[in-house]
Order: sequence, then structure tokens, then C-alpha cells
Amino acid sequence: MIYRKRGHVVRYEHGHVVRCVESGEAVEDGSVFWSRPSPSPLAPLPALRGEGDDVVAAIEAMVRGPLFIERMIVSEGYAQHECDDICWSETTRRVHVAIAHRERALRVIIDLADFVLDDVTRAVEALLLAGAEREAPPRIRLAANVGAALLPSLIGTDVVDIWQSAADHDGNGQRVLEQRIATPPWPNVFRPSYRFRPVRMPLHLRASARSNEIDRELPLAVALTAPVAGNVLHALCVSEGAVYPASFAIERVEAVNVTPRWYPYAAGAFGAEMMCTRITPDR
Amino acid sequence: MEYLFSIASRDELWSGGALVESRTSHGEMQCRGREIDAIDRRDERLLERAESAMEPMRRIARELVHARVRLVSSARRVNEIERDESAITIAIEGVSIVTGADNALHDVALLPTSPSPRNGGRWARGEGLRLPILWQNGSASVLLHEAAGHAAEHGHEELQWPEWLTVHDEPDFAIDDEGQATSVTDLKRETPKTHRRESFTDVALPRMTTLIARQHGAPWQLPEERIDIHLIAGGAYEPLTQMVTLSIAFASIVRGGVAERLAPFQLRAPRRRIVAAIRGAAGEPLRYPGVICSREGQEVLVGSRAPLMITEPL
Repeated sequence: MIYRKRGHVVRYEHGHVVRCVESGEAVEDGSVFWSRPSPSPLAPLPALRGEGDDVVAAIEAMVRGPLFIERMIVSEGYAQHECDDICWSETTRRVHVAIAHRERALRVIIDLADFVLDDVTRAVEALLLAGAEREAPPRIRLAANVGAALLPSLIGTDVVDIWQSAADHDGNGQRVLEQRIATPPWPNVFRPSYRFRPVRMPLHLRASARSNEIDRELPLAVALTAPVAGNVLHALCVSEGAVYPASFAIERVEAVNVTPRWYPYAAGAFGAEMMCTRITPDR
Repeated sequence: MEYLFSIASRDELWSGGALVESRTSHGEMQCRGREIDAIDRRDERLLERAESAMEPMRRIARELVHARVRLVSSARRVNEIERDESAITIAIEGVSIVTGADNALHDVALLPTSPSPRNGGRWARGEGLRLPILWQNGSASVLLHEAAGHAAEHGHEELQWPEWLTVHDEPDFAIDDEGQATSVTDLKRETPKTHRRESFTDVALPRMTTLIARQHGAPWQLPEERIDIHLIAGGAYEPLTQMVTLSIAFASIVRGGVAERLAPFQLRAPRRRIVAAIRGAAGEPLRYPGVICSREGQEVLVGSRAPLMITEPL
């Protein structure tokens, strides 16, 4: 199997703007995986919309006072893919930002696959008001961005049903089939770069529960404060005017509202506003 | 600042003496202040230099039929100055070393073979973890990489290190990846001055190059009961809390002159506590076999040397 990728990306990182043009190919030859740059076709690539610098400026304007940006990477790209005789293309946008509180030794981490910054705004507003760590309440809501981050860890558990959503192409150009995901072997492959061997894994995850009725009075986890580890979340929670970090394990999801917004966790996950119960403190 | 950076690299993964993955990468970046234009242009000369370092490493990979071996070689040029880097990472049963072709067969003997490093050994709990620690094989350089080096990269406050201890970053190349002259940095007090990048698409960051710790008339009294640390699987420095975490891959508990292997365990302590716990050191700096340092998604090889060192329990 021969896979080829050609594209360009503009990345804003550490105060630099990096414009990169690349094309390469990957070959699986028996048990050996080979990757190398390959001469790019001469046809020009479509121009990027170039909105990344506005995103950088908008996030920088939000962060003030005791808050500071620890890390911010904003990118916009376009890629053409070819795998055997199947061709497809995609545009990508990514935001990764870690914002920290100077006095609280606390950070929020936000990952986006678009340039809509409401998750960042909400996290920044909460972080400004953050108090000391508290024990998580027995029932809690997860904001859609927090729920999406949790989905890859919930595959194969009895916490909630996880589905793979349909899409036109996986990493080998094959159709991504809609199906409930519980145990391997996974039907599709993920290929984040031509430099890496494609990995069998579920794509475009979506949570499913019997109910979508969520109690809006419950405390809301608005942003991650550390990467998800298993079913344990470290998150910034908002409850009746109080804002506090908490660590907790999700034991069951009672209700889910799936949002159409796609987040770049693992091989992709749709936003999942969740109402969770039986929270146990992380020990 | 304006410069042209070019690089070619080869990267192979071997398992059981056979090649399983092979990557070639090349490109250049034109840097003008904070604007960088990168393209995967092929530079034959750099590619040949990178490839030429691979064959001696492949010979070692073929011999190590019980190991997983990663070979990385790169050749880079900033303006007109060229330099090469290469490393072999050898992993046996989950414990790894990072070394070069010249030292590989010597260093691989440091890897424990029995009992299995994954499953064997006594669990280090309770009283075991309250014993003083002897940092063998230059492993104190990994502790200092986290507690001094990364703290310096983040510009964290200076602490009261023992006066007999120096911790320097000593680049073994003249020009960094931004075309600037390199120089020795005192990691107890200063941020590393050398800018490094992994590839032609990465922004260069101030990074360590070769950490060398030395003792100058340090006290030395070897505790009879202690933990000896031989190899470290990985480390981390949390800049918000200044907490250092080390995953110890190979260690022993020593009592009455008898050493017993410990199962892998984790040490976690604030930087301030580590500095206060340093008790003594002896001898010349020993080359620790390997630190691949990952920061901001960029992996760079950092040379690491430290004398035998003793700390209080951590």
C-alpha cells in the first residue's frame, strides 16, 4: 500500500509564524514501514484563509492579570491525500492553548479543531475566579469540550456507549462506518502524518445514553486542568458562583447531549455534554 | 535575525534484529525574525552525512536480537556551519538506554536481564523509600536535568545548591540552530543559551545540550543501608508546582552489604526538597547512557554526566 500526502500549513507558535509546505509518501512493504518526502506535483495548493493571527490576538487579549499563556499553538492547513487509487482532501484548523494562574499553580488546557473561542473565553473567566481545590460533588455536568476529551478513555467501559460516526475517509481512504465501538479489532485506521504507521483505532467518537435530559443546576466542569487519565478527570468546576479545581473518576453517565462540534482528541470526538453520577474522589 | 537552517535525518526502528520502520526526512527553513518559511527541500550532502552514520548503528541493531532498537541520525547546517547528531535507543523488556555506536555494547550491559525488569524485583514501599539514595552510573544527571536544567529553562528562582556542586550546560558544538555561538551555562543560575530544534518545521527553543555536574571537595559518606539507582526510565518537571517526577527503572535496596533488586517505582519531590536533600558526591562525572528530552513536542538528545551522588530520602 502506498499513501501520499501533500499540503501546507501555517502555524503560530511561541511568537513565531511558521509557513510549511511538504509532500511525502509512506509505503508498507510486508512487515516494514517506510516513509520519505516525495517530489510535490506542480499544481498550486489552495490558499489558506489566514485567520490564525486573529485567533492568536484574540486569545492574547483575553489573558490578563494573574493569568498567563503557558503555551499556544494555532494552525491552519490544507492537505491532499492519496492511498492507492483513492484521493481526498481536507482543511484543518487547530488551537492548543494552556493558560495558567500565577498564584494558584493551576492551568486550563483547551484543544479545538476550529477558531470559535467560546470554550477558551469560558475557561479564562473561570480561571480568574478559581479558588482552592475541592472534593467533586456526587453529581456533575461536563461541558461538551470536557466530555469530548473523556470519550477515548471510555471505549470498552460500561460508563457510557461509544459510537464511531460515519465519515468519507479514514487514514487509508476507506469509508468510516457508523457503528457502536466496544472492543478491538477497530474497523478503521488513523494516520495523523505520512511519517507514522497507520494505527487501527476508532474515529469520530460520539457518546450515547438513554437520556439527553441534563439537570442544568448541577456543577459544571468547564475545562481540563490536566490531560485525561483513564476515567479520571482533573477539571475546573463552576457551581453557584464558586469556581474550584477538582479531580474525580466518572463511574456512570446518566445523560448525554451530543453536539456537532468536533474536537481533536485521539482520532476525533464530538462534543458531549454529560450528566455524570457516582463520582468518586481520585485517590 | 536572519538565517537559513537545513537538515536531513534518518530514523529506523529495529525489533528482534530486523528492520521494522525506516524514515527519511529533509528540509530547510528560511528564518527572518519571527517569520519562518519551511519546505521539505532535499540536500544531498546532508542526507549522505546522515546516512553515513546509520550503518555502524545498524550493525549493532542486527546483533541485539532481544532488544527493540531505534537509530536516529541527522546532519544540519545553519548558514554555512554543519554538524551531525546520532543516537541509539536500546530497550530490553521496557528498560532503555540511549547511547552512541561507540559505547552501545558497553552500555547495553547496564540493562538488567534477570529478574525481568518489568515484573521482577521487590516493591519499593514504606521503609525502602525512606532510605538515602546513591545515584549510580551518572544517574544524578537526570535528577539535575529536571531539578536544575528544566527549572533554568523556565527561568525559575535560584535556590541554595551545595557550594561544592556545579551544574553546567556545556555544548559540544560551536553554533546553535539559530546560527548563534554557543557557550557554557551555569544551570544553577541561568537559562540555557543554546537554541535547538528537532526538525525544519520546529521553532528553536532554549534547550540543554550536555549537562555536566561536577563535585569540588564534596563530603562523602556511603550509607550502609540505602537505595542504589542505576537506570531511570523518564523524568518530568512541572513548571507550575516545580515538582520533579522520576520513573526509576532499575534500582536496588542495599542492606548489610547485600543488594536486592527493586521493582520499578516513582520518585516525586519538589525541586526545593531535592536541592536540600543533596548530601555528598564522589569522583569524576560519569556518562549516563542517555536522555532524550521532550519539550514542546520536540525530542532532542541531551548528554548527561554526573559524579556518584548521595541524597537523603526523597
